[in-house]
Amino acid sequence: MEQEQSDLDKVLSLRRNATAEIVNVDEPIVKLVIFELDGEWFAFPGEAIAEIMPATEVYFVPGCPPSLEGVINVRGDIESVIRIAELLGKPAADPASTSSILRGQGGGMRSGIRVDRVVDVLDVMHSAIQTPPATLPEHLRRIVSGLIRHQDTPVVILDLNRLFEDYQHGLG
Amino acid sequence: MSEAATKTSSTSASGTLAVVSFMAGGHRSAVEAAQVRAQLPAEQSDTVLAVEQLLGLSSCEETQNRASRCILLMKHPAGDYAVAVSEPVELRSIEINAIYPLPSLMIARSTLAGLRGLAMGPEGVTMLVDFNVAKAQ
Repeated sequence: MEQEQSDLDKVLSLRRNATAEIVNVDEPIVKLVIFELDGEWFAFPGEAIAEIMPATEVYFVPGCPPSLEGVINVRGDIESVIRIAELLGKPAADPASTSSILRGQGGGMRSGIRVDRVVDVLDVMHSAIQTPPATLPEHLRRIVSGLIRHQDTPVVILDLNRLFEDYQHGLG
Repeated sequence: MSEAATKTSSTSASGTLAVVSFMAGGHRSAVEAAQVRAQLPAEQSDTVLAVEQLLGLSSCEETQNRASRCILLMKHPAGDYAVAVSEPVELRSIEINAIYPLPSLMIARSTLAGLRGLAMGPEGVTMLVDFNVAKAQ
């Protein structure tokens, strides 16, 4: 004997077949390459950094500003190396020390970037990035895109596109 | 280096570029051999441009005084001109694969007149320069 379907059964059946609407609650994640310059921490978005290079010989080319250290040979191609410390008004890293070179790309350009050391590469929630304070020095305002804290240390996030563009037009 | 040697094409079928290399302000440099008519002893010309002055290299008097100089007689449609360079001066071939255009930031920031590219070799970097471009700048 066929049993009549109760109202509850009908409701449960409807609910079973219903496609639950999935709400994406994931926050956008930003990868950052954090590095140190003169004891302070800075970062570039991970998408702007192609490679963290080990100690590499830099060949000096005359006629360039002191912040343009020279060129490096990267697997059969050459790229410039800039000393970002000098662009930020900090003492230059000693190339003979354990400093590293980040290979950056932005604004249609590529270049090596000399830093004192790479601190970390990490993913952070986009909401954890604070807007830069209005009190930033004039020369940093255009190239700083945000601030975060990592290991209780403030990290200044830099916009590599703007940094390369400004460098091309005479920054440093 | 003889005059006859520089009358050949600068590039060869074997994938090399013929250049005349020299020192300028203490830096290894080279021009295309096809642009050089002859190499002359320094004494034979009185109206010569110093290569450091032509390229805008900071004057390196010590280097200039210590290194022996010679003259490269350069071809130009408006008339040949002489450039004093430091020795060693050599006619050599550079592998095309070892020649690179300047990186973007270097193009934007270099103050050297006539710097066209760089060659990388076991001896380090050689600046590839064009004296005609430098003269026009």
